[in-house]
Amino acid sequence: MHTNRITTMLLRISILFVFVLAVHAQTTPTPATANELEYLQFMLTNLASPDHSSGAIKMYEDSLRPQFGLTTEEASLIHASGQSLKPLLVQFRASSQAITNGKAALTDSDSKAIAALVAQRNSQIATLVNGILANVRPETAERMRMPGNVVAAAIKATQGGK
Amino acid sequence: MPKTPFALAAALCCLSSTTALHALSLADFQTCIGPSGVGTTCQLSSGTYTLSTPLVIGRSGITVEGGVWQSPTRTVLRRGASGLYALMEGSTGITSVTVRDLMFDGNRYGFGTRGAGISCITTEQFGKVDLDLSQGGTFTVEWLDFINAPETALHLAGISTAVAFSNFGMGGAGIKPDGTSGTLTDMESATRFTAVYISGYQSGAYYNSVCNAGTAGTTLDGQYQYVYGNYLGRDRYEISDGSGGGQLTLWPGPWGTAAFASVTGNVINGDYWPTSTSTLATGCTLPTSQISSGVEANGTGHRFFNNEIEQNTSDGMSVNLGNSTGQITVSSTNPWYANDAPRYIEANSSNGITFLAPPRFNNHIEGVALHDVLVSGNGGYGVFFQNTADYGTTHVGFMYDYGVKGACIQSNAGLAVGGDTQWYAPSSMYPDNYSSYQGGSNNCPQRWVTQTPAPSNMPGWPW
Repeated sequence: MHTNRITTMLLRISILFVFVLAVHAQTTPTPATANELEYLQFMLTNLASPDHSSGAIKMYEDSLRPQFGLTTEEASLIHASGQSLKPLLVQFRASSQAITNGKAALTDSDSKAIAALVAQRNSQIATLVNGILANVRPETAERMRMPGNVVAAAIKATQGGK
Repeated sequence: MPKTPFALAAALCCLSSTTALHALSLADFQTCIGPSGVGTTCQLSSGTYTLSTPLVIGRSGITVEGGVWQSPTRTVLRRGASGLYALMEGSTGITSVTVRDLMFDGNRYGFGTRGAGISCITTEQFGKVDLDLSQGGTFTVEWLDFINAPETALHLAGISTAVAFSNFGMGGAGIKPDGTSGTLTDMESATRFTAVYISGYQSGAYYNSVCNAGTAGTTLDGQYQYVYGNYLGRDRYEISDGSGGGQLTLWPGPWGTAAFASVTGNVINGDYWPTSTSTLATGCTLPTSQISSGVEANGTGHRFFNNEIEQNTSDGMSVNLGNSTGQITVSSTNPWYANDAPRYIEANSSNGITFLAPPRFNNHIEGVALHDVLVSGNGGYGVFFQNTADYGTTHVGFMYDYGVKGACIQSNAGLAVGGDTQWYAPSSMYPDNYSSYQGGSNNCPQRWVTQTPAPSNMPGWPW
């Protein structure tokens, strides 16, 4: 019972946190592009992963400070975003498993249902990402956009600028 | 040489496709990726598949993917026979293939534990690569997760092949080192030998998390390769080859000699592993009295740009350990991103950077260039030269940048710069200013590790 209450409270806090970030992100002039999101989604899902061990997540999270030159406040913001994503990823997993359990192969209908869940998850992650970008220093936001942008530039260059 | 580090990472492709596909059974998936398959995407239904034969990619121009976009752990390929060489491999001559959204579980504890089966194999027992793309070709590998590799997790060997956004040895569900099923910690899920082995030409690793590999987290033995933005954490965990080395190794063979690599913007943290009392979560035996570096570099023309290399039990960087090496550049600048966060070589237990050319092989280092290096809080010298000569005028030791021959070399337990110069020494062996960053004075950037100096872990030593 006590655990359930804590879980409920954490979920409420997470939802509130996401809501606050979403409201703040609305003032962000340039939300993350799709290419920028690819890296930032990798980063956030690593911080919130239900599969990876807590020690590995901690070391990965610590590596972000020298990677992006984060202040303590920025590191805390990213940590909180990862924490708020975790229950969402757990819920995403449960929902997708409910579709796939016991099936050797999926129907088109199943695949569409999973695709809808993925789109919903990615939308939630995008909200968190834009909340981070809106609340860190401009130079930090630029650095965090960089991985996705340089990869996109590489793709463009290798495709002859098309 | 390409103008960008990513010039040939072409296939790092489009990211937000959530279009519903018809996910396939294992048998249909095998057919789809084979030489007679049809369609451009072969998607395996999510679930766990125990394999007794490898899945072979037999045609070009396709995407091979798991059942849930950007959720690699939802579609698991697990080794089902101890003799299985690879879980998935590419045929010769395959090009333009993307592999994504899959977990590779090497299942090293599924056939015996604590040395039995393939749980703790040795170099004499080599012969397993969980994702083997060493037959050449061009691949993009992204959003994969590797655990429990009994030897090598991933081998790339083509031209302009890339691995990105993938995890190695971060933990997950599977058979644990005690033989029971459950959730493995990151160290329990360690790769026994190298996590990412990159041969070939102009290939690279971008923004991966590579942890707990038994030898190097990433090894390069090709030419013009790129290692950019990765996190390498506590690699050389098992020291399964019996001796210390680098978390990132630029290696002279057996597939080719590493040359002209660009290593940029990575964070390489040794976690002060191992200590004198360390034991392994894998149930294997840890060799005694071994220490490891952040980078172990051999070869010609390598360039190291603005990497954070910290908390290793040996040097931050060990350059040349007995093989022909020269024209090495170490810089705190990222030439592809001027506003990058400045990073240090810091808090390593021995020297920050060691250029080591024992004269026994008569192969002095042929030129190094140090540009505004940031080296602090190491347990030995900041920078140590042995038997290091000039190469023309471009690689003569500390170089002028912004009009100053500067560096930030501070708080090391030994001398800031020193060496063994009885054979060769660089003509510019010392900077003019030890507290100068990009032409300034007393303006060294913020450090990231507060330990000053690093613990040596050596009994009787004062730090």
